[in-house]
Amino acid sequence: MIHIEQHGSNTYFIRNLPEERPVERYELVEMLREAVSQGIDPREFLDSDTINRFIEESGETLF
Amino acid sequence: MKTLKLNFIAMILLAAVSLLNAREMGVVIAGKDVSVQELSKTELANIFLGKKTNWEDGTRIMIGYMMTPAETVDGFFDEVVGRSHRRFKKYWVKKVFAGYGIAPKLFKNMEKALEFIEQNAGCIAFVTVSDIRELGDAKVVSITGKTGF
Repeated sequence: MIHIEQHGSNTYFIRNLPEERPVERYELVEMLREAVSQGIDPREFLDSDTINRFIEESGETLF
Repeated sequence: MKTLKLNFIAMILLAAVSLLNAREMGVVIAGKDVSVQELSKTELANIFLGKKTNWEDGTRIMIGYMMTPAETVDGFFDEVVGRSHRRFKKYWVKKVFAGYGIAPKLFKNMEKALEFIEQNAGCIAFVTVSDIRELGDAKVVSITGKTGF
C-alpha cells in the first residue's frame, strides 16, 4: 500500500512506489482530485491520518 | 478617406498576425546529459506512458510537462502521445494508486521546468513557450522530424 509522507512545508513523498521523488503539493492535489473524479477514494490506499492531515493543512476540499 | 480606411485594415491585419505569433508553442526538451536528438512518436508515447523507463545508457528516464495552456497541452497529447490529456491523467492516477509508478512531474512554469531538468539526470519534458529564447540552454528533441506542437 502506498502512503504519503510530508517533507517540508510543500513537499511530499509517495512511498512504496518502484521509484520515488519529491512531489509538490500542487501535484499531489492534482493527483488526488483526478483520483476522486475517477471514483477512487484515496483513503482506501493511503493512511487515513496522513491524508486527513494533508487535507486539513492544505485547506483543499477534495471529498 | 480611402487611405485612412486602408491604414486601419492594415493595422488590424498586423495585430492579428502579432496575436498568431504570440501563440504558445509546445516543444519537447531534454537535459544535456540525454544523448537523443530525435525520437519517433511511438518512442515518446512509450516514454510518457512509463513503458520505456530507461535510456540506452541505463539512466532512469524522468518525465515532466507543463500544465498550461490547456489547448497546446491537449494538442500535444492527442497528436504525439496518442491519447487525450484527460485519458493520460487517468492512466497515471491508476498506476500511482495501484503502486506501479510515480506520475510525470508537473511544471507550473518554464523556470520550474528548467530547474528540474538541470537538477535531475535523464529528464525529458514537454514545455510551452511563446518565445524560443525562453528555453535557454535546454536541448530541443525533435519528434518524428517535428519540433513544434
